[in-house]
Amino acid sequence: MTGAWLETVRRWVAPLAVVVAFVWSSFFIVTHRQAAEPTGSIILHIGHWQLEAGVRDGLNEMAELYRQSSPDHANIRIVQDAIPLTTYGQWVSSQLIGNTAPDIVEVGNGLSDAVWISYLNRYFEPLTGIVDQPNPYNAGTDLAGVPLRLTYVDGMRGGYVDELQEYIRFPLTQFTERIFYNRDLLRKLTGLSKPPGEYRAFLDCCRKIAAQKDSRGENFIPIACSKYHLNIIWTPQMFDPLTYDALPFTDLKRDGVVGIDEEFAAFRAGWMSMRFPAVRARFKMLSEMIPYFQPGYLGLNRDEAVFPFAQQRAVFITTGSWDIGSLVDQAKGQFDVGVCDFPWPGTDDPEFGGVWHAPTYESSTADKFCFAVNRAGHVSQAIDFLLFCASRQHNAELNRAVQWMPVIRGAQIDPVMRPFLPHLFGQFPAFNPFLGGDVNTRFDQDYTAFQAAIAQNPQNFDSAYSAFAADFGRFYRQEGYEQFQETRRDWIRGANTTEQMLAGLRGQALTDDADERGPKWVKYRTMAVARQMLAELPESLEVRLVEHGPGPNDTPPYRYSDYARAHLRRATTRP
Amino acid sequence: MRRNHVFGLLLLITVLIGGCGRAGGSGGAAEEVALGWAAFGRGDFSRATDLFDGVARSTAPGDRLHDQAIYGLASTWAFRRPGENLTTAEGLFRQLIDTHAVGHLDAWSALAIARMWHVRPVGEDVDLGRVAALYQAVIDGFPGTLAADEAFVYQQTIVATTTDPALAARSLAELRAFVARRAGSPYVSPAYQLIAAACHTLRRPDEQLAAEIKALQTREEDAGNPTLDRAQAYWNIACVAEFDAGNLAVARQYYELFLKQAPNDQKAFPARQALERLQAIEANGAVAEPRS
Repeated sequence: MTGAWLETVRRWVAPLAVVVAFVWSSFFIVTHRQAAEPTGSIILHIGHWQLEAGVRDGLNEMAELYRQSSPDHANIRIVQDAIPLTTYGQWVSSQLIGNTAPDIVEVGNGLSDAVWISYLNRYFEPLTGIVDQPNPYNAGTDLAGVPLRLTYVDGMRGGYVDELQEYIRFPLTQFTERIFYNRDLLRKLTGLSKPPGEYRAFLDCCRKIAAQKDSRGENFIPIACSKYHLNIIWTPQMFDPLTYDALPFTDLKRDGVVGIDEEFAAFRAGWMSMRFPAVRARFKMLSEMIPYFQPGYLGLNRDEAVFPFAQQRAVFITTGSWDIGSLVDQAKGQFDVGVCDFPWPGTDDPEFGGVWHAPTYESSTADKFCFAVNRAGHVSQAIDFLLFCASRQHNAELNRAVQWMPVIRGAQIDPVMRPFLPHLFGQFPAFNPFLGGDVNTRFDQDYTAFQAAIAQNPQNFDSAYSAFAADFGRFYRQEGYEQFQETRRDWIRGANTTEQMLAGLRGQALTDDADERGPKWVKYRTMAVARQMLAELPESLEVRLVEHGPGPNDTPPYRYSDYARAHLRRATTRP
Repeated sequence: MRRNHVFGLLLLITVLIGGCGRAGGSGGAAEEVALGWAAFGRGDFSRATDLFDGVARSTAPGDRLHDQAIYGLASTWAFRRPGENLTTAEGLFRQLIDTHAVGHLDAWSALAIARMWHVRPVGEDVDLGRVAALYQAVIDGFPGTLAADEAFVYQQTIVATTTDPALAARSLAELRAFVARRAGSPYVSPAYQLIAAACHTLRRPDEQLAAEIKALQTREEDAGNPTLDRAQAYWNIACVAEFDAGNLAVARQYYELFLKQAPNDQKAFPARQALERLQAIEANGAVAEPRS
């Protein structure tokens, strides 16, 4: 009897354990979900990659304020899906394809622009219909009757996707870059309470720092740096804008932006070269800063540069406003972190006074922390929550909580963020030799060799630059031709894509607008004129300059033609 | 047990057949045409083809929706990659031309054929002579239509890239005739821009400047597109005025308009520099060239 009973138990204990576990877990899930998602509640999921300190807390704060803002919101709960950036692209792709994506998705990173555009087109709700309506959460302010897009500092340009001809994103912040510094270490090593704003004085400060040793006998590092910091922050902020005076010779399309094709055409036309003073100045300033960068910076990645700063062996480091919370957190209890602007030469600077005219221009485009609404989710609730976050008061609160910069006109900015306010007036880069392919590889090689030569002998600029300019300049002019042809092929591919887009707009207009002056026809025609109809004209000038050099009628874009010079002189001649 | 297996199999077959319904929307033909264009816009050409084909089969020739479906189907065959079929596309467009499809679909079909042969992928040569003739067919076959106006402008762009003064002069005459004849057309503005390009080739900077200004004055606006504001046009006119025509007054006027329209634009700083430069020219006649 006992043996039979034991045999029965042995046979059924495993299946019984499975059943018990299943019942228990089901009970747990149901009761837990009931607690987290009470019956009748709406759960809005937000997917994003912002793991920086303060972001999740800031969004939670917004979620709570939103729930409290109206009885209609009491049943809305907001859950964040915070995903590391390294896997965000795969995660969002699988979620969208599997129809399990959050209601609100941060867009713009982790995937190529082309993929994001196709996702935005297929899975996300256009906002064009609401951007001309006032944001209800601005009621009672001077923005009360103002269309949503005009409440943004940039007219909500950052929310518009050109390829789709739609507003489709809610941007909630903007970023700029600055220099962060260890206040305590700066005072200890230089006696200064803040870094000099003038370039030569800043170099002197760095010299003083570098001359002193820490307790282990190692020299202090003036500037923690890596290849990332050099290429992504120092160069666009300080070195590239020195090339501004090249603009009259390189901005062939006269739109203020020097494309890789324009630069090459200007070189081939003989209007630009590596010997151009403003181009030389860009590399000269770099050569003066190299002695104060972290040794071996070219071989370091971004995180490796942060170590000496965190360990109080380096005084300065550059990063963006997105990092201020994280940096301050890391330094908490150890040292005080300050923020300052990049140092600028004076107009009487012996080396750069002739090429530096104004601080670096920074765009006011609000195009960060952008969210789109999943068409398959709780669309109206998601839009309403984002409108809440994009109102003046709450955008200021969100950005204050996260220590970022608001993007709504008149929104109060946290005093800590004031140094990050963009310079909306200034000079900008006008040198763009990155034609692609072998040209970029060669530039990287020659540029690295140039920096290594300077690091070995900082007084060696003239011969180091002559060699770099000659080697790369020759390669660029000659071998760049094939890469230029590839840019032409890319242009043709772009024209094909644009033609397909226009065919779609035309088809929709033919379907929806019986009146050929109606809004869909206007949208079609204005795009056709702006993007396709006349696009060949500037391209043909570039091809002509590259193949044949300048003709008798060709002058650099911002140089006076003979006719203009004569006409101007006639107009100003005193009788 | 065997009966249960048979029943289960029949049930499975029923479910599968039931799931294989026609891939269409729940609405009528008009909605399916709209869905077809939405699919086209996403690049989902298979779905677009199914939707347009479905409407074409379920509506009668001469029906407006039938013609729109044929147009959509033709467009899909022209643009689908892989699997484009220009012969089928052109055949369908010509069907609409031959049957005088309603709503100017015939005229736009003729233009679509020309565009199909003008914009070709990398590696395919474009027969500009044939393309110019196709545009002329739109102009001759559908005079007074907006499709013909668009065809004319595209036809002239073939010439606009030339540096041949004789071709530029002939194009200039045709363009001027067009803007006079079709003064109310929304295509007058791009025509004026082509006039400016021709005048540049012919070294007539004052006429070039006047044409650029007319192009802006006659420009069609889409208030919903923030990328199409007038700031770049103001900047362009100011530059033509200063650097090509030497016209101080117009240059100053348009630099100031640019600054008013786009005070935070990247070009605000060079615009201010330009105004200072013009002031120096007026004050002491010194024409300062940028250093080379």
